Amino acid sequence: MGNSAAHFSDPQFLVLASLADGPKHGHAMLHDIEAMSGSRLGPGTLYGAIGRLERQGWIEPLEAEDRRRPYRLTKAGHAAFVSKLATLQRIVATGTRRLSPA
Amino acid sequence: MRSGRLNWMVRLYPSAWRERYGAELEDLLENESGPRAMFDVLRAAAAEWVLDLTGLGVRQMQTYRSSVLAMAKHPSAFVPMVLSGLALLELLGAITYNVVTGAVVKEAHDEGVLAHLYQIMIGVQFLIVPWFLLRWGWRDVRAGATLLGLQVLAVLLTFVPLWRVEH
Repeated sequence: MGNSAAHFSDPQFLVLASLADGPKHGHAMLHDIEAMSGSRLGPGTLYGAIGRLERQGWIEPLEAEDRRRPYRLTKAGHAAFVSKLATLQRIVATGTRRLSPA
Repeated sequence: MRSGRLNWMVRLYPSAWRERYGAELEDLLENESGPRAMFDVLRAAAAEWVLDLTGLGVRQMQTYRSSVLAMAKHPSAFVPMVLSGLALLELLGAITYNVVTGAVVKEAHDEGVLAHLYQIMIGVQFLIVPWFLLRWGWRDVRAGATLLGLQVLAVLLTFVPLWRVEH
């Protein structure tokens, strides 16, 4: 990934985004996040974010498959993600408007 | 089971964290190597230790709710809140009665049975709450503080109708 400024790396937001289309375990999340954002989260960072999101009640674990445990968004997590997306969209719209020539 | 190069790093986490997420992280670390991943895990493990030591980690989050519920079962924890609830109901009942019947509260030497009842229900709590803190509250500071906060909040709620009547 050449352009580091183009990376987006809010780990909790990225985990929520990764789980938005269905449950995933850690490996799948890492690959999905890298493909989506250009950021490769470290394993410690990923599980730090997973722990915080689970404590907030925004994601929940499913039955483990061997050592891989999938997670999914809760209703509260879905609402939080929608809210964060809306904020991000406002920032993007404002930033784009301000950058465009008058 | 394959042995990854960074699997050992899971041992750097607090034990409660390892019990909950250790196997998953270990699985992930089997495909990781290099100083970048190592530094990432080191930093994350240090952060989990900070959370653990400050009472915000996995261990405390798992036990906090059950601690509060267990502590709330002691009479000295819930009786003050019940008394506040009864005092509030009594006040609201008296106010409603006065409004419906159009009764005028007169200044009197004796405040009356209801006022004394209210004072007793609140006053008794000044004996029960310190007992609760001495007997149970200090054993788990977070759970004790939570219940103390609820007890104080319940008393403050009984002051709201009084304040509204006075102003």
